[in-house]
Amino acid sequence: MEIDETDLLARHALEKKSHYRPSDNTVKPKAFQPARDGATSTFKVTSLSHDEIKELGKIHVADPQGKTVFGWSEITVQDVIEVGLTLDPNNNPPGHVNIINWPDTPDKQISIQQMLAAKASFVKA
Amino acid sequence: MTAVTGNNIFALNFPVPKFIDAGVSVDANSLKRIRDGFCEQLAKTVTFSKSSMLPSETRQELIEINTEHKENGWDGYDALPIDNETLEKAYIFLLALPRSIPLPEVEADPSGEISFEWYKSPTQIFNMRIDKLNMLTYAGLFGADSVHGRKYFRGELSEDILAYIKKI
Repeated sequence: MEIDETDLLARHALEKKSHYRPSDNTVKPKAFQPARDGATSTFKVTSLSHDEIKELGKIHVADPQGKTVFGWSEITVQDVIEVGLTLDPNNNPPGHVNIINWPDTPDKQISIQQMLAAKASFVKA
Repeated sequence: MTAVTGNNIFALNFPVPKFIDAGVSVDANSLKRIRDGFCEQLAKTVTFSKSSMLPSETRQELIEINTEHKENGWDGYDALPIDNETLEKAYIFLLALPRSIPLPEVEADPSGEISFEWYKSPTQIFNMRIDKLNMLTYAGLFGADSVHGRKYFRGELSEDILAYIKKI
């Protein structure tokens, strides 16, 4: 799978509070927090419809955990690259892209999460 | 270490003085009863007055964290559960905030820590986390400027962190 700077990535939210603020519909930094393996799991959703993005999250993220898709944060590849991170479009499952090369200290990670959240937008499922 | 269980997270036991009871006379026993009653009342008073310093919204946030984030993967990814020790550290941290500082939004963090957020807008924000060892991890975004760091919490916030929070 190829990606370029104009592609759009979605980070699905399965937990009501952690990923966005209902008060102004903005994304929280925690939405992009890397997992313990050092990667933030996202999907390339360029040109996908609302229902297709929701279904992608349902099949590959929510259902395996017995949860429901609450919504997703959208961010461009360009915004991710601009904060110094890189992407691993492993396409496993199809469309899957890991955000990698996070700094090795948690305070630096939070700082970058803040920058990503400031550029992202939240879509309710 | 104090156990914090169920919804009873505000029943933290504050220390009361320990005494050596050498006296055996009637007067000594009377004094001991008066003293024990006083210490019991003191502990209750301290517990009540401390917990009532947090607004109900913040207390509710802590209760929700305690009841809804006890399992691995509570965020649908690989979040660590929040343990009682971390919850207690967060509680003590919140009580120690100066009154001049607005209380943050309190949440469980996927790292197993408790997170605090002071928020004005996506580019005016200060995030902090505390772990069970009292380590604070923080980052702030103030327009084009950003800060980040780690510090042990020793009962009060350092001047630089207070200044960051006041920027929000």
